[in-house]
Amino acid sequence: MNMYFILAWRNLWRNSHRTIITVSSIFFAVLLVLFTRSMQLGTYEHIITSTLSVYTGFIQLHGIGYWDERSLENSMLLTDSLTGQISRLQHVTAVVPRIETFALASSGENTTGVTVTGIDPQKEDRMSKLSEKLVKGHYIHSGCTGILVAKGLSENLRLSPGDSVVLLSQGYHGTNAAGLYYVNGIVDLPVPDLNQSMVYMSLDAAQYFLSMYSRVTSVAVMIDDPDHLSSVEKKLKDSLGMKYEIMNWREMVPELVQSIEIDNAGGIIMLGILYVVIGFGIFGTVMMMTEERKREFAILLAVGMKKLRIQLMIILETMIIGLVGVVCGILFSIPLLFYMKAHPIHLSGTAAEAMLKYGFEPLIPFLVDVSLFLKQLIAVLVIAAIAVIYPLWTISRLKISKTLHA
Amino acid sequence: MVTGIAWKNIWRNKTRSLIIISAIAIGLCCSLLSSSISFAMGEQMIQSAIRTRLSDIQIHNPKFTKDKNIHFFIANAADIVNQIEKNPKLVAASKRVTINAMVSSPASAAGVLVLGIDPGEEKSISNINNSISKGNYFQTDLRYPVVLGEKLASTLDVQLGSKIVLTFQDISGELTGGAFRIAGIFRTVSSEFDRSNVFVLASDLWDLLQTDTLYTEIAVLLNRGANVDSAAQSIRKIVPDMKVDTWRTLAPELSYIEETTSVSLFIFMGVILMALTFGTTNSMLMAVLERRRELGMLMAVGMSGKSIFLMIVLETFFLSLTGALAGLAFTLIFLILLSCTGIDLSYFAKGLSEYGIAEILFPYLPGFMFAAVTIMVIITAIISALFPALKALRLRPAQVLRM
Repeated sequence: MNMYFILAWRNLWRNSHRTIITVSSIFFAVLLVLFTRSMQLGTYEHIITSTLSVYTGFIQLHGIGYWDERSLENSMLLTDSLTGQISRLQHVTAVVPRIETFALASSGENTTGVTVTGIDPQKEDRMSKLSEKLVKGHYIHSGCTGILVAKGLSENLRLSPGDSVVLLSQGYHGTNAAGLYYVNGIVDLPVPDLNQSMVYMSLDAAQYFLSMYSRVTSVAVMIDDPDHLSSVEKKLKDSLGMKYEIMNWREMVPELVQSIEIDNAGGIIMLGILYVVIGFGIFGTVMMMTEERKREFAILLAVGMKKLRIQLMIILETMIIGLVGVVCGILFSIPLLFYMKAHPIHLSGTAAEAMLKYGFEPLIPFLVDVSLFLKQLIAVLVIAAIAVIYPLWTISRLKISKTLHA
Repeated sequence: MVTGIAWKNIWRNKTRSLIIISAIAIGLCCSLLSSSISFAMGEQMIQSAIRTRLSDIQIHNPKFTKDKNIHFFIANAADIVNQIEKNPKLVAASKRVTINAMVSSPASAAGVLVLGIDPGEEKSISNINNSISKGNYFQTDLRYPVVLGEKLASTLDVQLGSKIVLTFQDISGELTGGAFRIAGIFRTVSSEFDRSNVFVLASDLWDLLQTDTLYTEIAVLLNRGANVDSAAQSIRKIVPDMKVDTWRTLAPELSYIEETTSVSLFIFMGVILMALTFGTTNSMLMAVLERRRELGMLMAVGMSGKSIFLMIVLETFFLSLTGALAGLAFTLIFLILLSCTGIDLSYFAKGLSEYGIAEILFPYLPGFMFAAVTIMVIITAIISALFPALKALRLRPAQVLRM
């Protein structure tokens, strides 16, 4: 085996230019693929985690029918025993109740539509780090009647901490909901739409405002590891599925999941095209290697070498070209990707605006994952394996006398 | 003479040349086709936004844009429309009253943008009248008719003929509102739009606002392909005291998509061509090395270095160009076929409709892409020829002939 390897290695360097060009084409392709894929997958992860932590949580419980018809009539009763039952499940890290409804907010001359969100201030803060977005005033605490107003909204209504605002809405069972609230603090939310419309108040205050005592519209469940999602979801469905609507984040934001799928499919197609082109290059090299060495093979056969052994040598040669290229590509990209992971690209200008418009922080983080490297290794080896079919076939059909006389 | 030799040289090793030619053809064809899909998606996203709410150009009172308060209306909207309609690039203009409002039904409430329109005018601007899935577009005897999106209708749990209440601020800042009956329900390709916009008659809004004729927005649609920025510029000259925005400034995220689609596709094409360069260089290098003797002989009998260099460059050039032309031809054939059938993307319908893309996509490529790709191929051909051609130049006739 060792001898085959030495032979194959030396054969490769008989035409060093060709080997180097082929190896560097693979190197270049692998590097490019790793860079773009890492960026793409990192962006997906960023988008998903920010959606999960700020909006949906991993799993949500609602009153039956709430998701299709977001009405307070479809709200659910939140009892301590229910919260306890969920949080006792393995892998559950937080149970975050919310009330969401629409209201009109008036201050002075100005009136505008807002989204009133009743939250458990401590739990919400742990999930979405709301208090870190505070730019003026104080954060709210359970039981307090103050509200937090998003920065854009506060500018439209000309509000600052201490000012009062009138909220008008429709409560539970169609009751009239109206109240005067004092602004505790201003939060600067990254998403423009939310920054123009969000009002937070404590759960108790929201329940009082909307006359829906002990009721909430949703309960978000956070877990420690995305891998446990389906097992936690199953346990919840088994024990509570009859009484509540239980949905995982994929069901709640199917648009997001699908747009990621579309983008991902596009990315994979583009990389596939790149690999096909590189594959042709490898095939060309292997073919030339075979054509110009037919005579040499014939002589080897004539002096008693077995066809199988020549074929083994050729397989080794092709695999070495592929492996050297892909391994160099991976080795070179590891420090690059780790650097990019530590220093994500901060977008600016129109790119940032576009990303904010769809609700995400304008960041392009990178994802470094062992499977990403393994996939490239496999892809290149598969290409090499396909390319090597040609010389194997040529050698198996080689006629000694004919080739030597040619 | 060199040209003829170069062309014939390519076909001396048919298999090798065909591999390179097919690599270039397949590489180009695949990447152009996937580019055409991206182009079509981007274009459709922009067109659907323009044809639902955005329109090409919008005119507002400069103060309106900030507060969205109808207190800042357009004083002489009808005059402005009369003046700008003389522009030959303009297809139609529609006057609108836009108000942020709360819509409530017995089941639920939501924040929406109310567009008060004149159906006759609006029809020529937006395609909502063609997107009606239930009921009709204001062809009704109902008092206070309203047309809203399917998504909103299901959130509010209302059907055709149901009553909804719109609450908004009047011109002096007081809350006012009224009950409207659902005359029609539309479904556009954009779920976002269907969730957040309702159409009513402008005259009904004036009733509720207790005002005379009043408009806050003039939407302008241009000929397809007309230059939006220059049209906006000429409108600005007519109405210097109004704020004239193009869809690019109104929806920077769409404009960003338009910009990045072509940039990222050029980068992608560049990457593919660079990958092809490796293959071409390799193949040409082999061609030079196996013809060392022959090239040495040519030099020995007096062929100049310049001609040798030119011959190798031309060979590479012909090789690449043949591949490129084959690739472009295949792309054209596929595009023509696909433009009849379209590509069915209904599997991704939900994700697409979030961005306003229809399920059946008709891929297309702007003409400049073909030209640009041909130029890029020529450049890469020359780059990949340089190394082999220099190698040929450095041959010593005396040495190679004695080998």
